[in-house]
Amino acid sequence: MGLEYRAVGWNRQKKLYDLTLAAAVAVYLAAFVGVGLALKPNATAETLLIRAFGTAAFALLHVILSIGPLCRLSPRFLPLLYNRRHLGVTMFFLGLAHAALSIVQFHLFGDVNPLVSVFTSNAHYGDVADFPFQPLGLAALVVLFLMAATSHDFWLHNLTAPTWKALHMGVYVAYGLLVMHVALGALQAERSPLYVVLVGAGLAWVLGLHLYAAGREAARDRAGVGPAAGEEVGDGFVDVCAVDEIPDARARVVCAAGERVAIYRYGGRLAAVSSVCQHQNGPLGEGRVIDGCITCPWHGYQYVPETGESPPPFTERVPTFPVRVRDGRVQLDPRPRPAGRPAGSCSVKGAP
Amino acid sequence: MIRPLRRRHARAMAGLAVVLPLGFAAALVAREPERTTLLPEAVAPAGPAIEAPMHAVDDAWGELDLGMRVGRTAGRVVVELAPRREVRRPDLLVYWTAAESVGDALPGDAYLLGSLGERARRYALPARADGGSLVLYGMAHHGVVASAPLPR
Repeated sequence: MGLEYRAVGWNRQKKLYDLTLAAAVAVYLAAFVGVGLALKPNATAETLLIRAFGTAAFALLHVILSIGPLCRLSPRFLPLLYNRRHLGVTMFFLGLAHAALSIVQFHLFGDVNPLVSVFTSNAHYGDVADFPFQPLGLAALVVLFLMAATSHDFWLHNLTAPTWKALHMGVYVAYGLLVMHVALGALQAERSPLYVVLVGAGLAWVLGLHLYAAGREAARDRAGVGPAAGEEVGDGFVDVCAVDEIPDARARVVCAAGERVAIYRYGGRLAAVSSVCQHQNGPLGEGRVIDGCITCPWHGYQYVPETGESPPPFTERVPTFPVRVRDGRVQLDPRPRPAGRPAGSCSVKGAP
Repeated sequence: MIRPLRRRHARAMAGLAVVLPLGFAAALVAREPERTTLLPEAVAPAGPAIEAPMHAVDDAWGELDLGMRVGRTAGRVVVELAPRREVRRPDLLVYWTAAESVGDALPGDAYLLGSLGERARRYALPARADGGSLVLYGMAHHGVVASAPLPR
């Protein structure tokens, strides 16, 4: 949280996450090289390592791209999201190893600068079958480097969450480049239909999952409350739901005034805050009240319900909204309170 | 994620959902047909014809599985190398040397004849050639891959 700079705030879950990741990558690389040697004894170690690193990075990218939409569809996947940035950095280093070995193997011993050779050794840019696929991979690696280099919370705080999130949407550009890198490279030489099926299924999975989750999110955004929906009940308040529809320590999320608002119920009281966490813009309304604080489901950032402020010594703050109860119905004023004037809370029985 | 980013994300995915499947399909359609066998007999070997055959050997190159025919044309020695199965070494160059045996390094008098083809290819040896050895040199690892003596 916004207290002081620490390179990595290690805790038990992060250590377990990273150990599992490192073990999985090591097992995959060893298995790939072992099986490769058994099936193709004439293959050189360099070739097997190039392919092992490349396929590991590509498979890991599919896992990374699946975590976001899966978490939108089910909270069971939230533990995967907690340390997703470490997956991304790991994937970048796997891709870097693949690229470095490839450049050594295919470009280092010529009389042209190896990096220049990547772009000039094959000039058939107008030929689909013989298209120079290596520059596509290198361009993807540059995008992934920018993302890995700015993945730390230092950059998140300095760039602000919306800018940082927009920058990190570059992963989709990198994914598109890598799909074509594989389709125009490995799939041109490897003729087994298994490879085509694997890459095609991965592509269909990623695109289908993201489109489905995006469709659900758009539907939630459209189902908002507010004057436009004809639900204004006076004093600028809009009707939201019955009090009993909000479980204790949980929130009801509504779309009001163009953004999502989370109305939390906790210990017989109600308070409304922006559903956008200040850390990574996570879905604050899908969290829980833990130790008296609203807790973001993504990385555990906490806010006091009445004030929208992180408990001292932390400094994050989210907007608050006035909320009241009339005749057992929860009503919300969708105009956020200015900073320093928190909206407070009200009793579920209607008292202030 | 805030609403504008959700919209941008949805638009980006919709764009990728159109572009990537098209690109993927185009790459698959453009794939060249798979070559299952080499048919050196069906294609006339590149290089000068052999008018007076002298020597033919099938097992001079070990694992590379190259057929070799030696003959004369217009007073010059011509060697034909014909891969009988795919040679997975695109970096091989063919040299002639007067040395009878060759180690890992290319001899100083090595004379470049050309690159090893994926189909049969003929090479005219220099006029002074009488015996000596034919050498396959790998550019990737800068070393002699194999050599075979030639008859006098």
